[in-house]
Amino acid sequence: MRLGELDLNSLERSLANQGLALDFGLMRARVRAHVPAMASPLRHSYAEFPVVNPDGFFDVTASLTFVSGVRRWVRPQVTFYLDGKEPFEPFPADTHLPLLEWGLNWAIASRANGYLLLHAGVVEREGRGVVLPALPGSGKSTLTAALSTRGYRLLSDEFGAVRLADGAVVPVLRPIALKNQSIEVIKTFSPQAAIGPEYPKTRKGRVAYLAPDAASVAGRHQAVEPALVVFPHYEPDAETTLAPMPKSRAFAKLAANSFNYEILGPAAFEAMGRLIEQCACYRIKYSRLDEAIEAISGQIARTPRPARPQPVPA
Amino acid sequence: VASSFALTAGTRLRRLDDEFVVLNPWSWETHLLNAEAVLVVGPLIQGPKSLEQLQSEYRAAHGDQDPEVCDRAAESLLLELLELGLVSQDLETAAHATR
Repeated sequence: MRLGELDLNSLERSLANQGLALDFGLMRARVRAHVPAMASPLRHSYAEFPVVNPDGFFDVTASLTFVSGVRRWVRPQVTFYLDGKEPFEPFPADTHLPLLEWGLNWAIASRANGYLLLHAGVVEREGRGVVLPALPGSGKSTLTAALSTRGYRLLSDEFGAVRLADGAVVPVLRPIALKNQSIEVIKTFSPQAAIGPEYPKTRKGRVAYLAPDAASVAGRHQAVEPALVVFPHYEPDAETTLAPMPKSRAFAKLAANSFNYEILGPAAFEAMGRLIEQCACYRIKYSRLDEAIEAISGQIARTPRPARPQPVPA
Repeated sequence: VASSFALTAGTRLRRLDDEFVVLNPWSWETHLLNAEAVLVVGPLIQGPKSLEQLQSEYRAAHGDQDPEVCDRAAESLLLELLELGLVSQDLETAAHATR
């Protein structure tokens, strides 16, 4: 059974009691919430994920509860707990799903140190992984979302999780957080895209979540060999250009953009070196998503097919 | 001994295009060394060198440029590498880099 098929009452009960199990590929989370309003958007954002047994081992247990006392009724707030600890200040109650998503991001970024974690979107086509690093103003999420609606398998919008042992990129599959104008851009670009309700007043402005499609969810245990590193740069009215980038510069930018490069040290250096050496590195400047996708697809077609994708170890 | 230099033990290097990325073994910061710095670091991959040897190799790479200018530039680059901790003067603690 898919989460999208679960009736809301059952989902609310699961969230409030034993918890909802979510398997992102790299990590399994148990989510508990005493916030009934979150059930519907959560179901929408994870609609294609299977409903699985919430017992057993989980990498993290995330919980959301209302702040008690007068705050329960006057400008209510919700608190995020990770394994019983409260890493952040409470958020306004109407930003429940963004708080859960950011909390889970924080959990992954601070704990998944068995992987080199790049701040990047990752998609895959024909066995070739495309890493889209996030630099300020890059439009990374918009481009990742657009690619995912045009036949690319989504591995992650936020984490390029490079396995230290072999350099494969492992899915960390979650909904794509679209912010501000990106919401309308993707709605226009792909009217059938499964975008959930908007959260108008978050700390990052307006946010809405694009649910991963069924094929991406089905492939969330399938790692991919990275073939391209493409640094996106959105510029209004720009002509689309895809230009090679010196590998040394790509290495430095990716290292600076990693969550745990300096924690892992030599292991990260080796993993990054292998990634950069095996990938073609480019910079893409774009204003039109269809042209950017065409340019990336053309480059993929010219890139040799890598070794067979490898499953994520249990 | 004071005039001999080597890559600091544990330093990791990877040549990419015409540049080096280098991992500092103490801070785990990565430095991007340009082509000029590579002219000093490159010879040290083979083993310890004196300042005079490094200057000689740097001069050779710059062909017909003023030798004195080259020597000062090589020494300046070496000092920067020492400050970054990528190169050591004490051969007791310096060793070949990992790559």
